[in-house]
Amino acid sequence: MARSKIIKEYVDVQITSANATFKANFEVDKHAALIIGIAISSNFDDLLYYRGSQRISINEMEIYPEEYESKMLLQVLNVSVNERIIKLGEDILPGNRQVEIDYKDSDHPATNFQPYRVRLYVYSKLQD
Amino acid sequence: MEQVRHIKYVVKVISITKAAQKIHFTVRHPENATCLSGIAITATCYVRRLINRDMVTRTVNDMTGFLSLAIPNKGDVFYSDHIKIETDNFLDKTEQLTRSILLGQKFEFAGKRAEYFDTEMPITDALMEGYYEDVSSGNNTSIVFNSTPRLDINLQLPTLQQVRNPVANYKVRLYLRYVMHEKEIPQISSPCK
Repeated sequence: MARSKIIKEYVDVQITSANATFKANFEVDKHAALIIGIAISSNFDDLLYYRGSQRISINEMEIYPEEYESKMLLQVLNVSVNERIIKLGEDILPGNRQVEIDYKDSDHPATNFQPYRVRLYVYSKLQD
Repeated sequence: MEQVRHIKYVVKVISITKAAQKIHFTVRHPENATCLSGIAITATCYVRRLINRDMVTRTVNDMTGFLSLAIPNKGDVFYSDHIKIETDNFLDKTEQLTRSILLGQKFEFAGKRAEYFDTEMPITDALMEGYYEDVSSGNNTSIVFNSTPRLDINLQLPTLQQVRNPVANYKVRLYLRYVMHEKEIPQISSPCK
């Protein structure tokens, strides 16, 4: 059976207090040749939508800057499952394989804070 | 010479602290940016939806401000937009099962994926100018009804809940998507491609 050529990995960020920044990082698979896209989700999507902004970097290259709101990246049920990957506009070499996310929670009148989890998915291509 | 191209995002945050505030600002383009390929704008100004008898969303004034971007010195405005107040937009992004009995349990898909407004503006200056004017102060009469009143007596019914964001402070975020060329090249025939 043919093996999938797309590697899917994720890292979780636990948001435990309001109006604070939380960091997480991980290394992409050593067999990954190119990073093709990301996705972001949460166990409380409305909190992520209204309260979240983040900086994401791959191989020490800033992909999304500080203050980039999560609502610009969030893909929920109205988007087809196969289209929820946010392509980065180019394939990125994994380099040192470090993926970092600095997630910032900010108050919003539409939501009340409760602890929630933010998950960053990274999709990469397998080496040929 | 080898040419490396990639996308860079820049976020400009404009803080509004008082009603009818007018702000002039500048945005410095990143070095080696050749083309501004997309613009998106969001505002954290928030009002809950008003729902009338027919369950149709109404707002008194759904604008939070007016934003324009111009080429410096020339004063040529190349982009302008009225910024909408956020009205439970998250609900638009969820799949909803509406009126299941009447519609035979059909799903309705509301909302769409957030996308940039595509542009193809070559970068010729080091920066660009912007102007933002707050117009949201006219929204302080927004109300919501716990019941579903008749349309013709809306104005005579008591206000049950003030829903206007009580804090006048809000932020407007201007997202700019650039096409970058990492290495200098003598001539770029089509900078946006």
